[in-house]
Amino acid sequence: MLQQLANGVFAGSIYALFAIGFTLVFGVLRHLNLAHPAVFTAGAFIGIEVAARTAIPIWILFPVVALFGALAGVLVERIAFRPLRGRDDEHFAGLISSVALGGVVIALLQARYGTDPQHFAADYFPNRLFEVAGVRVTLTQLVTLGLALVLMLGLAWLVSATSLGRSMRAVAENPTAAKVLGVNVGRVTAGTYALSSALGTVAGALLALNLGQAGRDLGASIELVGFAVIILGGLGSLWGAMAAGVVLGVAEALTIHLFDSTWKSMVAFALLFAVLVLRPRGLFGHVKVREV
Amino acid sequence: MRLKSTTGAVLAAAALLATGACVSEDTNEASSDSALSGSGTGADCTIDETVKIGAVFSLTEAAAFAGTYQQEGLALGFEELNAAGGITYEVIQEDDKTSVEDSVAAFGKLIDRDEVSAIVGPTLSNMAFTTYTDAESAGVPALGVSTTAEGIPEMGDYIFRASLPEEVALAASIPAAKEALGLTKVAVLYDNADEFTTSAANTIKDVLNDENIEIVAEETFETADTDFAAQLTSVLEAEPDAVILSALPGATVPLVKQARNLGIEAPIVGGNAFNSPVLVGALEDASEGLIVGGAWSAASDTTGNAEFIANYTEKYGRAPDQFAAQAYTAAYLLDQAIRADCDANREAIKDNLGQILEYDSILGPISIDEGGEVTQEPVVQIVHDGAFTLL
Repeated sequence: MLQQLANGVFAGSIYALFAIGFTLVFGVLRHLNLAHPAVFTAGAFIGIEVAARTAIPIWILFPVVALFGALAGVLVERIAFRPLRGRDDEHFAGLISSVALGGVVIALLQARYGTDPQHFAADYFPNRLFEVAGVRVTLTQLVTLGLALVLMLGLAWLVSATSLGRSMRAVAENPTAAKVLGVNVGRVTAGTYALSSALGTVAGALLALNLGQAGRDLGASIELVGFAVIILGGLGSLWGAMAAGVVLGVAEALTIHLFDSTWKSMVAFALLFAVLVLRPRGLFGHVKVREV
Repeated sequence: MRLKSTTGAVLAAAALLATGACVSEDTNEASSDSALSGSGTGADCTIDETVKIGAVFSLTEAAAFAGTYQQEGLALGFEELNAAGGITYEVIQEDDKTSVEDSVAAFGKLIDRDEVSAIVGPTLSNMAFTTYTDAESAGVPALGVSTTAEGIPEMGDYIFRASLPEEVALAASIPAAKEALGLTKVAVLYDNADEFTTSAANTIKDVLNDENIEIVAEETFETADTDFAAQLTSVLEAEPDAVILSALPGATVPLVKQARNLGIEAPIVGGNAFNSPVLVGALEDASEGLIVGGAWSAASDTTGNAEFIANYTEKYGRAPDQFAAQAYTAAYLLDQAIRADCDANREAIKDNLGQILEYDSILGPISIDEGGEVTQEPVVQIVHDGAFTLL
């Protein structure tokens, strides 16, 4: 049982990492970036290729992947969202154009890597097994959890205590007012996308490391759960996404342990449904006065 | 009054059915072509017209791991047969993109537009269940080379397979593993969202029961799943002597890797889906000790096997797998069926394909009965140092 809880926490930390990247963009810019799962998948493939080509150690690999991710994020904003800015249907059109861009990214991945799944070389990150208080954890799982925690706390600190974070919060509150007050909205927008995609690509590479391989459907496999995490935690809430990721991961692991894998998705979405009915703004969402 | 109108409706329906039957009969007659029947018999058979054979495999998307090998194996077989002379074959290759809709479209094109004599494929049983109804109603013989699910040959008179049923492969590999490893308790792990793996899992449980092996853990997952930690934890806690796995190759690689990472050191036993050098390559060290039941082994000394491996490797730059070997064999089986009466019409192929007895192939002696089912000896292999060896 304890082992299943641990499994859930590890799986949940990746859900959370996927979800906070997505929810960050929504929280600050009100954009639903549906290219995020494709960027996540790209992160896994890029991580695998960089590891195979350069054999750099893992603590350098993730910053490199994040760099690619940041670049991808800036491109996603430029291509899928900026051209639509100021239109009446800006949000809806952006949602559709990001779906399209996601499709393009997946097609590009297929062109470069083919249809076969890619994987890290077995000796790239030798796996060690630890036993802590009767719970078996692998080194990969520890790295995943540690990195996820560092990134999530780092993001929370960045948003609350740095000048970029202050600008982001200002834009989130009221973009026009922020502009009047001298905030460079264009730069904040690009920065938000860069951060979001950097988190997404790192999450993708981490998942690939955990699973042993990555296929083009890696993002699609986590997409729905990721969205459930975001709604569960409250759209736009960073802390909510982190908590909900773990809640959902644990719920899934326990469902498989106690019942059957067939019930896994049902439990995830029943949780989602219950939260939508009982707490429409999610576990951590709060009523925004501004919109009234 | 009411009775009368019902009778009327029944009569009308019967009339419709009768017309329908006539139409399909006509199609069969029309497809009979005297240019496709030649002179001589057996090895001396000569047919002037080119014999068109359709092939539907999954060359892209999820099942491409199998389809690309099948395409190559089949092409190599017909290439050799063309070189032998007498009959000229043309393979019309279609890609079903691992989707049911595309495989139905591909069958439709081959049957109506290309008017092929027979169709080899499709790659997956899921698609065979849909496309074979079309082949059956059009009267086109279809020969499956990897459609191993239960109930496929029973779909009709025109449906055949040269693919060892998963039940047979597993029924051989489990007793062999029991003998070699002294199994008393095992864990069963299977994909319950796929017809092929679920039907195999049912067989596994029956065989285990017959062999008096206890099932200490039974876990399921879904085809698209990628994280198996929860299931593997339950397996680990049950401490089985071996893990019996029924999964498609897509899930097999991450599952076996995760099992080894979590510290499951018990041998893993599987069926047809394990029988691929690609799988062993992708698993690297984690493949050591996998026990695989299947239709073909590179280590077998069956007739022509060594030449097949050498020619295939030279032509395609990679070693063949079971999928390639079965597709290659299909080319020879069709050739046998055509040469029997020196007739490449659909009816003649159908009649003779069901008469193949102990044909000496690279899979060993292989027979196909009138019901369309294949009979051959399965082989059981174990992976040692990254290579398959016979157990």
